[in-house]
Amino acid sequence: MNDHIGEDAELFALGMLEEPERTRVEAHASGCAPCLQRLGEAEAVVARLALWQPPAKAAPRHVSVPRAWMAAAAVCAVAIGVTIASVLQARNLTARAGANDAILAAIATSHFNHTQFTKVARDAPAAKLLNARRGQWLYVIVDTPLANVRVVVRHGDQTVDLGPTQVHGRTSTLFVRDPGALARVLLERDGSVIETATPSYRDE
Amino acid sequence: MLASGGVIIDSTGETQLIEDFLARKASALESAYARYGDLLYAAAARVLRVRADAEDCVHDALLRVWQRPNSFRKERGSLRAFLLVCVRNEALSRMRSGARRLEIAGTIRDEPEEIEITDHVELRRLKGAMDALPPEQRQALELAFFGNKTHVQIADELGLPLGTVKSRLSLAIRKLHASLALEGAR
Repeated sequence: MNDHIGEDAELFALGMLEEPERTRVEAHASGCAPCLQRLGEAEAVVARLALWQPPAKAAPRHVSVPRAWMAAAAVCAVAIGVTIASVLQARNLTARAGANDAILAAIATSHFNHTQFTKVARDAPAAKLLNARRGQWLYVIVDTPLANVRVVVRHGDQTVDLGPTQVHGRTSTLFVRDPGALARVLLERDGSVIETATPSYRDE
Repeated sequence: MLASGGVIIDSTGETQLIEDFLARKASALESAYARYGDLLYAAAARVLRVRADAEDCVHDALLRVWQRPNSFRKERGSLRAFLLVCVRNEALSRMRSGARRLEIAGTIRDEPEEIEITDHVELRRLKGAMDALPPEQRQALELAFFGNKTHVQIADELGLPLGTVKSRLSLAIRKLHASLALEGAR
């Protein structure tokens, strides 16, 4: 193959190149052993330089759930049922949810379980709970657009109000990162518990 | 086992992870995230300076890598280095495109805390290799890597032709590779 990538290998590794140069470099290197090796060497250096100043670990935060993902997750929960264990299965949602969906990405990189909420109030809407088995995130999906539903979690003696669900079309949702392992998840309306769910952290 | 960059990669079990990654095992992406998530996040946070943007960047970059099954081959060397460069490139693109521009009001509260390197031997090696670079190459590299500047910006700042900046950056990385590979082999 002609036109080896030359110094573009180092420029690629340093993040100097933009599209379409990046794609060109990757495409060439994938079929050219010397260039692939040079690219790998440059990446190894950059990776070591990056160790020089690594910042931080992520802290818990709340994320507003994009509408597209909400739809995809609802479809996913219904279609796949109790457990979705594979990254490949989660990948199938990508076309519907969009590649830039951070929440989909979070789910794609973890195993999670699915639990139906149990109604306490007779008029409580149907709701589902998805949670990562290692406690990296939880995702509440309420099947009606209720803005006044708050998500409250219990762990031991502690009760924490995670905030209200966000309305997305005909549903309302709340995605929470790093909640840890929880004993109970409650949905409250006007200060009263309307339904509960017990997250499952088992490998199923 | 030495990767092409002279970095010992087998001590952390990366060889098995690479095998799983190449075999498209469903657990490989999760394992990579568990193993390198903090490092990847750190690389993104250094560029984006906003916690939420860095997290999104890592997730999106990993997902993109997984969706391109032929993007990594054993001959490329270290999977960790490959992933880190993917994440850093994604972060740089976001920063430069302005699509995820910092919101100044939220920057202070969201800015990730710094953590210290605990591997002092590695730090000494890196510092030694950087100090051994010709000053003009080191200057270009520092502007590129630690300043997150493009080669065009560096050329403007230093008043140099673009080709000269590219060559200096390339030579700097090549020399660092040679120095670090030599150190790693000792």
